[in-house]
Amino acid sequence: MSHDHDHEHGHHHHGDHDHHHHATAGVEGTWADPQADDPLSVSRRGFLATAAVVAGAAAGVAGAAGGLGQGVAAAAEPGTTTNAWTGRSQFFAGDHHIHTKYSPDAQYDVATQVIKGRQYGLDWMVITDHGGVAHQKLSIDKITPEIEKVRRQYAGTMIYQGLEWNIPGAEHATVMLPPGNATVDILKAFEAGYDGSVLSANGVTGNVEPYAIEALKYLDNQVRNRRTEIALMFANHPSRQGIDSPHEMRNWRDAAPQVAVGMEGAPGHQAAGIPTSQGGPGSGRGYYDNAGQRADRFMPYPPESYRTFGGFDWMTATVGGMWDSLLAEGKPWWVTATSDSHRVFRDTRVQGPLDFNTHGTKGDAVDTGRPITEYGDFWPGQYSSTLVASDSRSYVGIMQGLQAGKIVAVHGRIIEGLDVRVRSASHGDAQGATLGGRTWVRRGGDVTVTITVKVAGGANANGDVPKLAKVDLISGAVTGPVSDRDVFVAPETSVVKTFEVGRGRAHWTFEHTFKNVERSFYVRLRGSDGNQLDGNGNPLMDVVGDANPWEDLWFYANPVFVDAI
Amino acid sequence: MTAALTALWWGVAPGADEVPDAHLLAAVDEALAGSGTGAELVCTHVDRSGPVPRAGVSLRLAGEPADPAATRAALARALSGPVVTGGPDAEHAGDGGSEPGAGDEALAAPARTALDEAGAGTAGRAIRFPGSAEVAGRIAVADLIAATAIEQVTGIGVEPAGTDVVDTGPNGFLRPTFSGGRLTLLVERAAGGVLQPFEIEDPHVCCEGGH
Repeated sequence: MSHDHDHEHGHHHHGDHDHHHHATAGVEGTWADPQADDPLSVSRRGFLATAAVVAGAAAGVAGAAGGLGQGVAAAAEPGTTTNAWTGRSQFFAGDHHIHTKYSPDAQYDVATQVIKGRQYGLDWMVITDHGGVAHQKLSIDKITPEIEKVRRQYAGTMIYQGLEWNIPGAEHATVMLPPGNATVDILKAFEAGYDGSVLSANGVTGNVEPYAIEALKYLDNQVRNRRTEIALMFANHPSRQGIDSPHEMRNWRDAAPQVAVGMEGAPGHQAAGIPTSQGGPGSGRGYYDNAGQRADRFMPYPPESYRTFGGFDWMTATVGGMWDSLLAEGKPWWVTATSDSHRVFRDTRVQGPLDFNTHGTKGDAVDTGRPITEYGDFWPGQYSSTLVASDSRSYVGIMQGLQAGKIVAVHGRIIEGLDVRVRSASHGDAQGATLGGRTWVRRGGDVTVTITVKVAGGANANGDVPKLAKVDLISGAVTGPVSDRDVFVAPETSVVKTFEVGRGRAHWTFEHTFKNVERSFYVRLRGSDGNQLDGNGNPLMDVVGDANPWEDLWFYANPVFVDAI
Repeated sequence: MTAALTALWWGVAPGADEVPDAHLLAAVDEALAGSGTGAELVCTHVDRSGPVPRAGVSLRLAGEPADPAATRAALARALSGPVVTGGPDAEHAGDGGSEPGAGDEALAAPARTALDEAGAGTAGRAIRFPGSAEVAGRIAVADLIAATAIEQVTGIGVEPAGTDVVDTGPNGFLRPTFSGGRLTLLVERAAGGVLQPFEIEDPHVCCEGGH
């Protein structure tokens, strides 16, 4: 990140308010033009991106009319509903952050990760090896046929080809695309033009934040020009090093709100905190164990932001914190949970012997025959799941569910399903909206939140049947766009109600009514096994070297916005 | 502070972006070898006056070197960057001892920041401080304060008592920081009912030290 953030990017952003514009400017050439994938054409791309955004505003309207996406909350006018509640949500469990031997610090082949993910109940997975010069030049061509082969072998599982993008000036991010004719070309061009590691190798230094903005606009343009149906970005481990500053996250979101849709609410590497006394690595949960020593960190982030809380990133785990400050703007920003699986706790294999820079892979992992307790990761789905509600079990359908925020981030099978309905039965939208959506109420009316949670019906991967102890209903006022884009607090957000969960039933239903609603607001949910809470029911800061993830389980559900009109 | 004391603080703007602590200390000691004095307190700083943050280093010397100009020049060579000294008689040694020019002022900004922050005790991360070499393993908070230049121990999510034990690790890794004029060690809970420094010696490095 950098402190001298420039607001010039705001001129180009095509957020919620720009959709009424009837721009007529055309795009010079087309993004289907193969030249557009020439990595040397970044400057041309930058020019086109500016022009294309103007054209894109009109395209966006057409896209919405054509049913593109399942609706993004902030794109709606007051008095409209997105993610209308149907009571028929079907969740698909997945993981958008998985590494293979095509990362310099990971070791498994695609099939190994996919087989494990299936074994742990995942329906969809995104392969996200690290961006970099060797990856761009060598790894993509090697992994593409491997992914295609595994897709054919396991046709019931959706296996996305993606990238763990080094965001210029910031942390890592998942970039994911559905399979398509241009998918690999887009990924290659994107990585060549916009990966922070590649840019650095090319001598691009200084304040590189504008490259992140251009990168997201590039992806957005691939959608607008129909080279791909959808493209998504999630910021990964956002607080780990303090280098995802609030203004950068807002700039990503506003540059391409249909692409940059969220962040890891919980990072991967959850086994890293298992204490050595229990045979674990004894590191920091999520590998969040540094003290914020990077010179380019965002200075106002407090020391505790470098730790996880109940396994979740500080931005998500803090009520009235960074995540809430984004939601209080009334704009979408979703949270997920992933494995970040590189090398798995107690697996017996070590990295292959090849030189990564020469081969673009470490080669096949080598079995040592002994469990390695220093590894801090879980297999995909073994501990972390991102549940996505979708109308269709398809590559694009899952991504539309992610884009629309119909997402619950779950650890250790603490819940299996969640139905959330927010409505105003007599003063507004009686049907109501569900996760990630938006509904409305006439000022002075009542809004009812109905929550049905399906608790674990069996053992998790640790052999425990987890017991959900409570569900917190969290609410905050929608106060609109911030004037200080580096703000990371939302003082009006709080836990408004805690529901205790009993025993002996598979489903629990809770209800809360907000009376006499005068202001627009949002609600979100979290739940816990209740094992590790502070006096206010919040998660505890995870102790470096003493944080067994199985003893501290949480879920976080994404918000529903309510417009008071 | 008196001018004489102020003069014992030197600031450096290292030419390299990221110098590991051990390399930094080795370079400082080599430059000061034979000067008649040594660096008893060494801090790293971050200068944010330019478009990109840069590292600065502050040193508190145990005494005046026999030949201050020569020692400054040696230090500037060792760290490939300008050295500034505090006090009304502030002097400036460029890389290799060249005369300062206008462009050198920006180059020296991290050195000035380091000097200012360390002198005022407002910021700075100590990588060597009086007593630091004598501490290793587990030590009570009160003993740590008595044995070293650390003036206070503060906790995140915990209020350390004097009898609480801090595990500094086998190498006695401690990186207290200046805050409000006091050298402060930040600690947090650790396994086994002890405390540990918030900054540890071997945090996980992602991607093999890459981006």
